Amino acid sequence: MLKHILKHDCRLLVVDKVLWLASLLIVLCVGYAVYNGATRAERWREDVSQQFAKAQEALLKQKTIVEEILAGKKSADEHPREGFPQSAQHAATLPPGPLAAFSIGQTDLYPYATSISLWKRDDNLFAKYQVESPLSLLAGRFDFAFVIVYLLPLLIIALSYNLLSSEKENGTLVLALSQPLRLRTLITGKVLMRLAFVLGLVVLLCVAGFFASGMRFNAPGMLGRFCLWVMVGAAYALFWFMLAAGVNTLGRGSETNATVLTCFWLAFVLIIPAILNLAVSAASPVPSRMQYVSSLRAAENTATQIGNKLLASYYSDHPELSANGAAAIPEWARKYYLVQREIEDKTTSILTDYEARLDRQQALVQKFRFLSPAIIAQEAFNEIAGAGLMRQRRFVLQTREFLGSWQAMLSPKLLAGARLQPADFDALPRFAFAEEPLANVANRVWVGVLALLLLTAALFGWSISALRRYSPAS
Amino acid sequence: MTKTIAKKEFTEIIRDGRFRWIAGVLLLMLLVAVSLGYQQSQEIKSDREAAANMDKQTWEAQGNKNPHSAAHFGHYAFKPVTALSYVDRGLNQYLGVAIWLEAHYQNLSSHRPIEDKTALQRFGELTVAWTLQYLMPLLIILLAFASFAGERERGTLRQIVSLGVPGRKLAFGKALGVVAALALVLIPATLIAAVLLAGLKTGESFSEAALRFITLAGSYLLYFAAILGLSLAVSAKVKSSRVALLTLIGFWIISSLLAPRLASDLAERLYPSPVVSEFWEAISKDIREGIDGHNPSDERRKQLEAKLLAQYNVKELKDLPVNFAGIALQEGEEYGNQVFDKHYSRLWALYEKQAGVQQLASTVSPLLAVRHVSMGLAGTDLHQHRHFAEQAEAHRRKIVKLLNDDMAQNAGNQDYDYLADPALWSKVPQFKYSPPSFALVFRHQFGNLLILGMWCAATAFAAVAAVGKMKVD
Repeated sequence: MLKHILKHDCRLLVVDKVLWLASLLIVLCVGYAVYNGATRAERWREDVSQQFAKAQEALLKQKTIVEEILAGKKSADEHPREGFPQSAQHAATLPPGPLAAFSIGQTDLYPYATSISLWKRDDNLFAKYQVESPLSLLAGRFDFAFVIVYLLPLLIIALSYNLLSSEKENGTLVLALSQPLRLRTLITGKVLMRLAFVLGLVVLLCVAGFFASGMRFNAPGMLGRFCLWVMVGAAYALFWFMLAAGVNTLGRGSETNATVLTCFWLAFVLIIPAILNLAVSAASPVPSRMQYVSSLRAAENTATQIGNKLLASYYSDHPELSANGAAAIPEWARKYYLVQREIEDKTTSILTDYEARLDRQQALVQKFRFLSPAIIAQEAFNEIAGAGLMRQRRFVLQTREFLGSWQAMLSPKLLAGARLQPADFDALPRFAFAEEPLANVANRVWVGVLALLLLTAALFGWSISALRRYSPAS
Repeated sequence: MTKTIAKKEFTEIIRDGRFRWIAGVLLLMLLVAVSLGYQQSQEIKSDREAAANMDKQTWEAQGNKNPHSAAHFGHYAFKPVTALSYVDRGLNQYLGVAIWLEAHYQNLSSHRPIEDKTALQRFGELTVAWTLQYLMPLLIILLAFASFAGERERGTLRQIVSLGVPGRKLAFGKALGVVAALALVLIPATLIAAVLLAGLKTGESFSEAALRFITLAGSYLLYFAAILGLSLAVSAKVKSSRVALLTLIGFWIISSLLAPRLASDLAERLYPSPVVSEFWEAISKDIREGIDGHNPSDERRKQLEAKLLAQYNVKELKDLPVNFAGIALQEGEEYGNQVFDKHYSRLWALYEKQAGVQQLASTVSPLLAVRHVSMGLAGTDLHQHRHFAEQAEAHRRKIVKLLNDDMAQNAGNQDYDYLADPALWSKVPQFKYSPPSFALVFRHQFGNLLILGMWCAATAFAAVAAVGKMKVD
């Protein structure tokens, strides 16, 4: 019997103009969204590789001059800064996320590159990056994740708000049920048909978008991420179908069904996130950074004033470095470096406190995302695409660690007042962002997918029991 | 007759349990938003005061220091909270809270609150403005979509029309009924917001803030009127209330969800924001090689040397009665200022062009128009940010010049070894921001207000026309 239902429904759907129009709109939206994400990622990738190349080139230039000075071809007086440890700079860059073309997420907010040098501190590692138009940031981006989270449910609602109600209103439901057909089979058939159509569409769009935006499966973890993405999209779609079916089993008219479903959509994509946002900020507030700025400056002021003392105490701890009386590097530079470390020492705890507060907020979001499937899906999409907070934090932590190793290598040379030798240039560390293992990402994502599926299952159980009370007569 | 229709409509609405529920929830949301927004405004305000005080203390506690080192240390200009930011936070989350005023660089504002927020922020934030812009139209649609279509379905429309009431009166009566119901939500919320405004002291003049508040309330009324007019027109025009509801919800989705994103996207495509690295690279290139490659920095320095030597009629720099390093620094600043003016005015012009595209899009989406007006009046938009940034920059130039001049006058031949007396620090003025006048804000928002007014007039006209030509069955 199910086969008949499927066949019949399929015929009806094929001639349904609304279906084709809505699907066409979704296809256009996804096409545009992926194009959008891909161009953005491309610009990002280019910028990152350019910055890296520029920094490497500058280092190489310095190294050549140092070699020429050593060979006696150039005089050190004409090149006073080359070979100074503090003149060496490196670009620490974050490449676009693995599925950057699919989700812009939070990536338009944060810096993806910084130059590393001895002058940098943890707090000013990333300065001067806020040029992105604030108007666009406020509006949000039109990416694939947006189309799935916001628009796909509308297609699903349009397809299934009147699964049973229309038959009832047309008077065909009683007729159909006079055949050896259970109501359960009828609604299952209808949902399955539409589900197959929408899932097929989603998977097709994912595959097409994936290849069209230049991504390939041979990169490590890409297949896994792609599968995760499709799974989240499918689970999200499944949830909305089940919700639509559930509302249908209440036995109200098509109009009421549509209104109820629209209200659910509004609540999930708009109202609950906005309220949760407020609640999370209120529960674990991150104060404005104004106070932090002035604390930093007070620390800077104090540290600058005790600069001489810092230098003296450093040399008394490291007598082997102060042996070099005829230092090539001026004293202010050595002092300045130590002052930066002192500022960092005094203020890192404030900085990490801010970060811990944000982490607590994020943990709250993780906990309460189950209130809205839209939040679950959005968070999961950001994670999978590498467009979320976690990847950004990872980048910041890795650059800080890298800055540490840069300092560990170069600061003894600075404080000994020695120029870098050609071999030192070759030994300089290079930053490469280590992507989080897919397993970790999957670990955070699967809970969300599971929650969506459980919600769907609960709705299913509830609908089955509601169906028993369903009266087919209008 | 109009009164009777309005009364009937109003009674019907408030008897509806669904309305009471939705209106209650909406009112609650408005009250939560207004009180939390207010509390947050107060926090930012005291934060700012504390930070500014601490910054002043730090600045004056520098001890003996070279003036140029002090210029590098610089000042911070903290952005004040505007009186109406508790109603509309606008771009505040996306704009930095402070600008570092240091030697050699005009900086962008830094420490944007959004960076200390989770991804939920991008879904939206429960503020008064958000509730009024996104949710209130839905309530209006819900109240008005069945106005005529519903009567038609019930068969009562024929009777109403048979009474010979003109379309204008009929449409007006229905609208009035809905407005009366809406007033039950809007009046208490407005009163509370107004009382809070009176209690908030942000240093702005109260009459200016009150003017802003009244205009803000007025522009939201225009927005609601436009939605109401549209709803009535659609309800009179289409066959069934079902189609009316679908059309109106579809319109809401386009106006509130799709248009803002697509418009900002189109704006970025037409006028792309610069990549950060390019922005700063172009600035340092212009400083190094001269604007458009004319007059590079080493040449400028040579010219300055020659000019000073001739002016004081000496042969060597060390014989100058003034300190050359101090003069060269100021000369460098002044050249840099030209470069910053060029690049920053380009950046602002770019943002403005982008806003222009959004304004164009607000002919499709009234939400965009009211959003801009609302942020503008609340002082949380780009115009006010620019106003702040420009005053901060003028202050930066003033203090850097003061410090360089001190070095030029008093450093003798000591250059960077010269240490200024701490008395100098207290001579440097504190930054004090004075917000733009209401008249200026109004001028900036005039275009958007006009668009809102046009929306309102067009939908009212459409409603009257549709009711006049409406089919009774």
